[in-house]
Amino acid sequence: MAFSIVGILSVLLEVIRPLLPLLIAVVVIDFILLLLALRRGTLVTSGAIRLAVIVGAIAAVITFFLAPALTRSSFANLSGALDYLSLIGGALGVGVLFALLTWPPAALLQRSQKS
Amino acid sequence: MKNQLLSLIKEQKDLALPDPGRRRLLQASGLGLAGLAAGGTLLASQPAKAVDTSARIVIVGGGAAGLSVANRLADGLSGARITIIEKREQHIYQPGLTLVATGIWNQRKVLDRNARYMPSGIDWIKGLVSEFDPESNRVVTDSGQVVEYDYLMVTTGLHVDFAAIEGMNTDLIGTQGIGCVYDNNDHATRTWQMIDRFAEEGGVGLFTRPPGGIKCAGAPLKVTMLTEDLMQRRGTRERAQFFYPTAGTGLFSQPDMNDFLKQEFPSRDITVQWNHVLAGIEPEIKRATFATPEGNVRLDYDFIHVVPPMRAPDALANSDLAWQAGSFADDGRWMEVDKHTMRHPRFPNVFGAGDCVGTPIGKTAASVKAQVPVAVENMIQAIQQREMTASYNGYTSCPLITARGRGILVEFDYALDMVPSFPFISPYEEHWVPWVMKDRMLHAAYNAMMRGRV
Repeated sequence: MAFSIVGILSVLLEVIRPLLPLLIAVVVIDFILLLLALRRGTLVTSGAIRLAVIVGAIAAVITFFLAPALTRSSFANLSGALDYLSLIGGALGVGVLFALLTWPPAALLQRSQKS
Repeated sequence: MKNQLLSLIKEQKDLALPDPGRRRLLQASGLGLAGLAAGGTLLASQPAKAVDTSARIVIVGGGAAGLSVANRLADGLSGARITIIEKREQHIYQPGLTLVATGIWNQRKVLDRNARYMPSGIDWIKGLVSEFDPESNRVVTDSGQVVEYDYLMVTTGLHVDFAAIEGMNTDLIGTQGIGCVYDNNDHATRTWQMIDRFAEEGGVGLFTRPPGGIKCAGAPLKVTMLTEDLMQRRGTRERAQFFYPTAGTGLFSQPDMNDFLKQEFPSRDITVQWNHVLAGIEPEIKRATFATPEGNVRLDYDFIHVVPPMRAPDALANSDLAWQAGSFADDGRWMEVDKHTMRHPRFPNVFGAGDCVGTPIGKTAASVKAQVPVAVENMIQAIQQREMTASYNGYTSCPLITARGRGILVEFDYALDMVPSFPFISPYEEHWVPWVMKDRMLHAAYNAMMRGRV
């Protein structure tokens, strides 16, 4: 039974629904920080990007190792390319998310360090 | 040719509208645009425009199927008077009960409220239907309220028939080594208390499977395998003997899965006992009686997972809506529907979906997900006096959890062919991904289904 794009998005909405207020707050705060960094012209700095990438990489590695336990299972339950590629893909997704969330505050941090 | 066309139109009208007076009114108002589509593609997942009608629609039952129907009808119709009759305010995510009964989930995780999914603008009668009167297009509630309709959607769910097992009643669950995952969170929680003790102390475990159609037919298998897995994890497996007395001669309706399980159970030292129907239980001496072709067999146990036979609720079973003859009448007096259109063949303004209908396979939340869009689309097309185009192919699914952390995502249709939603997930091999879906994703998909979104 095929899922439509709307259907998949609806399922994802239901997954995050319990955390929706918190997630909206985080995204709004991050967006404000993004605008501030844009106004100050410090968003695209090597220091900010480096810090965001480092945080994202750390988050990805932690997710990779903790995801089986967080799903009440263990690495012993993983078998074949499907499971490992799913785990790697999930970890990369979390890493990219953390990097994106870290980028604006990292940019502002760079500014305050310079001034 | 013209005469044939007129004849066809007349036949459609006669099928679509039971009452001539209401028929004229609805004819004036019900000729809208193209109806709901079944949700298979992005463009077809929701109606382009709501269909104008003044039809009175009654939905009997507000479980997963009833709520999903209510949301889809509320989205797909404009001006309809939709009434849902459901007594319970609490909603239980029943696909999660196997995880509660085996100690993996806390029962709080399966509890919800129907009000969260009830669409606005519909009437909610908090009662039970005690009488179906399809000849007069009305139902009667347990408080005596008569509710008339132009179209009826039956989504009552089913009745777990504990009384069919001599000596058994629901108060026994959680005592004397008796468990039963079915029906509600309380039963599942009390079952976990018994399984937890059995996994520690060991002994003889009987994991039963009744004859006939039951909801989530994979649940007895999953409870067996998750309990065995629990004892492996605790290092107490050698303390217990596992038996799986089943009413039939197979373990699963889908042949590939049946073959898999017929190898899997012996490999885990689970003894399958064919043609064993649980007939009675003596809790005080922990003894169960099974009817077999060779006569009654009595087995002592330390833990027994009782799975009663299931049937349509009395009001439905005793009505003209039930199958009057054949296997679905003999099994559980399920509601008669055409297995593809989900419409009642003798009462064309009546449709059904969910556990209560007599179709060859199904009685899962996944079946509901596939049946409801078909039943709703066809009902709307009937209101519009159009030819019904939606067809249910028998799709059902079972995330067959073989151990904590592993499972097989089994999806198949009436032909018992595998129809995987995600081609990259093998329906033949155990993987971690189906477990993650069961543990983290399927509840969300279920909620989205109840909102009419998938």
